[in-house]
Amino acid sequence: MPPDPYLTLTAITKAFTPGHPVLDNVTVAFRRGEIHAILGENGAGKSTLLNILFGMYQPDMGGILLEGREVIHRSPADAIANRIGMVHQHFKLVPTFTVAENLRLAAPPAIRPSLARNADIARLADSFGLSIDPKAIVSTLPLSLQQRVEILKALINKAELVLFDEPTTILNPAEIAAFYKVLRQIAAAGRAVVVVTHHLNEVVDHAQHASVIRRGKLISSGPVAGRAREDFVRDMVGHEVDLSAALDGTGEAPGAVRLSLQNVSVAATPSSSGLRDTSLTLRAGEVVGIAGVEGNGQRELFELVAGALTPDSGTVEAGRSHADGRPRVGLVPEDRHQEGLVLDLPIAVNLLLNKIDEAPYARAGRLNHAAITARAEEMRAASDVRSRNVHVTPRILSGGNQQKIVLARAMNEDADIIAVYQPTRGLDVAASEEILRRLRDAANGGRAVLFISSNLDEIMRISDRIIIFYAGRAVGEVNGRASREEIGALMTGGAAH
Amino acid sequence: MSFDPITISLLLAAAVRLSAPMLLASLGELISERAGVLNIGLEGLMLFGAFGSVLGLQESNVPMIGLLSGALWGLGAAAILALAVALLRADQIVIGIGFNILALGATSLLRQEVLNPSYNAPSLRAISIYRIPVLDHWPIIGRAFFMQSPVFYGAVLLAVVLGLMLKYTRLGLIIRAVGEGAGAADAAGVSVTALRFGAMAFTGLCAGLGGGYLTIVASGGVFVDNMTGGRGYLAVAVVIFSRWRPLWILAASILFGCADALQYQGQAIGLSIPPPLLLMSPFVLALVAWVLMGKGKTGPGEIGLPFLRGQK
Repeated sequence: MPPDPYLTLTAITKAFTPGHPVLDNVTVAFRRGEIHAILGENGAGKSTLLNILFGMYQPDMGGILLEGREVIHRSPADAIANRIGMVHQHFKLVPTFTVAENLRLAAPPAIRPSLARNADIARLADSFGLSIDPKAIVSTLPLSLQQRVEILKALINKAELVLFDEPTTILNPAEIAAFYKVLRQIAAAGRAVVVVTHHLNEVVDHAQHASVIRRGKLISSGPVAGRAREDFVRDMVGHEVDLSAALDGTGEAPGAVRLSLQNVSVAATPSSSGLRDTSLTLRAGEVVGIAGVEGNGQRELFELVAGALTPDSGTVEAGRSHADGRPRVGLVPEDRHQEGLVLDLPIAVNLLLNKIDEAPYARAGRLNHAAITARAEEMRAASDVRSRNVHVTPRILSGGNQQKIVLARAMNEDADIIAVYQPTRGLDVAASEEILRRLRDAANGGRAVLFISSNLDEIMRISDRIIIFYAGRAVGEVNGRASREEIGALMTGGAAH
Repeated sequence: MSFDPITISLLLAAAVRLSAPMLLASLGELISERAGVLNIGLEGLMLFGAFGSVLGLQESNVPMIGLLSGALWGLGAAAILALAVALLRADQIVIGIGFNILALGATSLLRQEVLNPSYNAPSLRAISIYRIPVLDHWPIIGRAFFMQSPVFYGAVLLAVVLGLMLKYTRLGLIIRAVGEGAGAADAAGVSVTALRFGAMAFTGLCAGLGGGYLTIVASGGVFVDNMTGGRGYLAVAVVIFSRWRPLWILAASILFGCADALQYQGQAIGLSIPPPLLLMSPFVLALVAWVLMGKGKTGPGEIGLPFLRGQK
């Protein structure tokens, strides 16, 4: 018999607009010593559930039982007092403060004396197995270390239940492994750990208990052992999806060369190796995957193709170019908030941003809003962007819908080449599948697709050829059917070259 | 034109004397800005303080009560401003500028209705000058720094205290946190709204006292319309120029005080610059300072932004 739950959310119902519950009668129980994953697609309601537990929102119905006794969390302060800690998806850290200052800021009065000196903080951090320099300014730390500060914050404040909202979105694979190691330690010390995520692999690999929420309803909740990936996918999405099926090409030989990089070099930076004497060709009708650990020249490659960067040496030649010499390429940049979208301008403008100064959208310097709206509505319908109309801003949309806008604009570019960089990062299963399918279709329709990603599964499913980058060089090329081991060895520089 | 030690000493003394209102207002503004509020209404707060202090002086005949009244008027006016900015989260710039225009009109009207134009102030010497023995006989700087109003000494002390408070105390940590990352402060259980309200109230207190100094110490207890004449705006400039550091604010205030003093004493010492140019000099100094500083640290990360929980 499993031990009694440490905390139970009972029959939680919450609606932000009457009649449309975000959560509908959800009951889950969290136990000490367990990593409990809450799985669901974007917008399923899992973050809302966490926020209710942490006192950010009040449930319309239902309540919280802490070791069998009813508690009410009116604000995060109540939750913290009940020994609940939360690591938010967007960190609650003061970026210009040192690690020590952030920890002191968050500490309740009883804890503060133990944080008076930086040496005390360093020792405390070590005792949790989370070493960190207390004097470091938070904004200068990599995201994985910033997250470590958040975890420390919860542990130092004596949290018995630690909540994580989408903790691995910002981490690379090595960091993810290290992160779950820390989580196992936390659970092993007798605390309860709750992780909200839509990354299935992590759940299967690391969680002991999983609850799946779909459209506000609890679909399943139980031990992970004995359940297969496919079961979870079905529970999340509502129908069968094969996440390992290859996305097939047309079977025809690729066509003419559309893009050619010859011996390009770009200087290294502290966060990247740059590019060193790298060559690459891209042909019509094929998807070329670029695999590699991040920081091995992928960003420089994307920026070269985008025309945002000029190589120190070597040439970039595209079949067709803009008037200013930049290659004509449909672009899906890495960071859709910063580079992909103007979040506070209407969807219509975002969809046509690359064409907004051309006829029929602009004439003699005057925007033709009727033409913009008409074309944008067409594109929105074709790309299945779910919004009320094209006049709302992308800021209010989910990540999946935002990315569909970016992709629709890239496809609408009058170009033979589509270059994408981390196209599915942060997206849920359904949205990711949609994006991958559209890219494959673009290649099957005769375009050349450059697919840069740190998600090897995706690269292997969609690519006709895979080029592996290591330390700024293309260290190997394999066909799309190559084994994971072969690619993995090349990614870490293990193969002879 | 003569640059003998006595002239320079007198000029410097006037500069320091005129720097005090700016110093007080800037120190107040510093706390608002560190807490994330760009308090453009500083000019209006000073003006209310200047009026309030003369009113207090006329009613009580006691200079000290006049100053206190100025500070309280500043506080009261700041509460109105903070209601709009911190509680109702209105746009800080728009409200601030509107507030300054309101202050100009309101104090002018109140002057006509309430103040006695033929009032004779009692001796203001005690509140205007306190000689610090021995030190005041230093050549050149003795008169400037050790023969000043007690209010000036208090303001210098305040600069030191605020510097230590921001750096070493929990209150300072919280104020900085609210200005640099309000979300983090909120998550730590700090009421961002209450803290910003308090910071703005403190600003009002300081700016009101600065306004009171301007009328009672520097102008013999007389209020004239728009008597702050842009000093509130300059004080905002001083804070930015000083990179949000209290001791630099002290230095910058004296620098601006020099420009101010030249307006009054330039002609007396035979400086052959047309008076309108001298009147302009503090503002030119502010512009030059900004341009020379170029891009550097840009101040508290969330300055000017209203805080709403749940916004990314």
